[in-house]
Amino acid sequence: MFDGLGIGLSAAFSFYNLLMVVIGVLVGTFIGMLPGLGPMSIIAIMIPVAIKLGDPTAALILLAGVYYGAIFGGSTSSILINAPGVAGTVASSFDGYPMARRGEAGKALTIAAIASFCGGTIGAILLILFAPMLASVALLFQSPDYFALMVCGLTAIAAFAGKGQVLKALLMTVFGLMLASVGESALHNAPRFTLGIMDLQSGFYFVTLVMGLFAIPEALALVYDPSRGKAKGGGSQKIENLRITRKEARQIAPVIGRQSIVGFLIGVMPGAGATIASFLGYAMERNIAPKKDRDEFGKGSIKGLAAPETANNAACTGSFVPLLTLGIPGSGTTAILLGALIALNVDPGPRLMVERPEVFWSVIVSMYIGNLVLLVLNLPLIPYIAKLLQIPRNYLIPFILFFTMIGAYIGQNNPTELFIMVGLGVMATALRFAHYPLPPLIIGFILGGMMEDNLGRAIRKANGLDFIWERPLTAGLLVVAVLFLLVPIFNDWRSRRTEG
Amino acid sequence: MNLDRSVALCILVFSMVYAWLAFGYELLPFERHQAFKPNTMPIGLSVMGIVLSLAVLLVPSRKDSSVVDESVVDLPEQESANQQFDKVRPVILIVLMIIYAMALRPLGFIGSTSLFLILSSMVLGERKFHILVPVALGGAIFIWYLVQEVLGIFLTPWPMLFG
Repeated sequence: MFDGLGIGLSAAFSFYNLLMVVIGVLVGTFIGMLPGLGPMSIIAIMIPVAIKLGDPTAALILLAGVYYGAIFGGSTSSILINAPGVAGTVASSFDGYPMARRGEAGKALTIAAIASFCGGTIGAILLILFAPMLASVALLFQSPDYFALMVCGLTAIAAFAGKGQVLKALLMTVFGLMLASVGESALHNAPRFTLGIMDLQSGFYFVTLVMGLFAIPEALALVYDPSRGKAKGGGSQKIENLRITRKEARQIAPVIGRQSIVGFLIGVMPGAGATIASFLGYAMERNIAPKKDRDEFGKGSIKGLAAPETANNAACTGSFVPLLTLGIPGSGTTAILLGALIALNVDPGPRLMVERPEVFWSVIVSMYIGNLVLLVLNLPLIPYIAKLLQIPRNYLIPFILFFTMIGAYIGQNNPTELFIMVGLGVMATALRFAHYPLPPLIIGFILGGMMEDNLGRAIRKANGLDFIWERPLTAGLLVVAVLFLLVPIFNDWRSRRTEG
Repeated sequence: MNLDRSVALCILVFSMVYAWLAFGYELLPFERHQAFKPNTMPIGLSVMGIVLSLAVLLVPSRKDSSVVDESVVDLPEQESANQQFDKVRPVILIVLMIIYAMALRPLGFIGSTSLFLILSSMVLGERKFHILVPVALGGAIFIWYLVQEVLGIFLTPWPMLFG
């Protein structure tokens, strides 16, 4: 582990990679403040740039920085104008916005920055401790186990989709797997389901899919609902006095300590991302607070702001554990990062730590650097970056649409990608209106190729489906996958009976 | 039929077409006797797609189903008396995006991008052309420079007739 840390430190502290961290965090904050663009859309927009860098270490560092910056940027608009464009920052508005309304916007942003920094830093330390352990276990995996693990990950994501959403999430997962089957697979060279379209010979381009599914519906939503992302109830964007007192620091310290660990553990679980962590963190701190403090929650409590901010950043770091150690994305955002790794010819999975230690460790170290940059650089720049919130939508929305289109175009230099992207955007907008969750679709798409490869190898080696019970690990993971599905379905059925 | 069931119906039709293509996939002679064929997983997926979409169609939906979506907060479910939703402009913007894709090579990157930015802003209500045109043109040229000169990705700046 210490050798790896040394490799990570030397790679992460190179001038080029430090520059990537700073650029990623600044760009992420910059764009994350804009209403309507979540971390997935922002990372999707930055992926073509990251891929063109050519160096997987620098690319992943850049995108990870964008991820943290976007979460922080989302918190900023959540606090200043009560317009949380990122679901993981909704809970921050419960107390952050009341603080801004009573003239403490600067203090609220400082608390958010410190809480995010601590959550991310403690999360990075836990990642350093847990990741090698998990990676060494994962080296025992063979093709059947990988396949079962992916099934487990996909069902967990569907299970966490929300009450009454399991069937829809599963349907989206299967739909994503179907989209992944278009084109050639690694096991079979002949193209499938291309309908004679030459441009689909290699399948759908990952960036096109992501842009179409996430960025376009968000931009169109801003047009459809003009009130979306606008300041509610007379938001205050005036930022003064970025200091907190020692007493306030002592009050939030235990909150930060608790939520760093809880948020990290929630983030590790596939499907349970920053959103769940932030809400659970807020609820937990409110429930354990003394009565006097509990009454303050929802009215501008510093604990009420520190809890979700710490939890969501720690969860973001935790979500990298399954990605870096097992090659399984735990959330929609890490699914997009996985797609970027594959596009850069890096084979994610347990062997990443062994074969590409400079990628593995430098990403982990850069998480700490990214959080430091957020605290040191972003906080003083917030008053200036906040001016972005004043850009008229008549200019903002066309540029957002343009950036999504150019992102898809430059990857393949083919206008057909734009047609495909617009078609996917229209489809995704309809899916969003019908409340179908989209992260399972993108995760299914990204894992589809690998699932088929591993399943194919497992079936060929066992000459059938005997591999399921020949390996206890495979059987165990598939049982867990079934349980992940059955428990929410059973709970849903039971609550329907109670209601009925 | 409400929207989520309409979507499930569309996915059911898609799954049935996918199943027809998967079952009808022409295997090469040496693939016919393999344990895992090119259409093995697609067949499985098509069956799952049909079953799941039928389940969504037939199972009554909950009124309070909540979505935990890591991307952004949900789109509004229905119009209220106080809220105004614009249904026309998003469609116009989609049409403009399609026209942009068609015009990208004939008009070149700078021309088609500037036109797209100007027309989209006009659709959204912008009328200050003395600001709009320079911003659109400047933005297009800046992005072209960034992508081609800095990142090294070729983008045809000028219309096709200029070569």
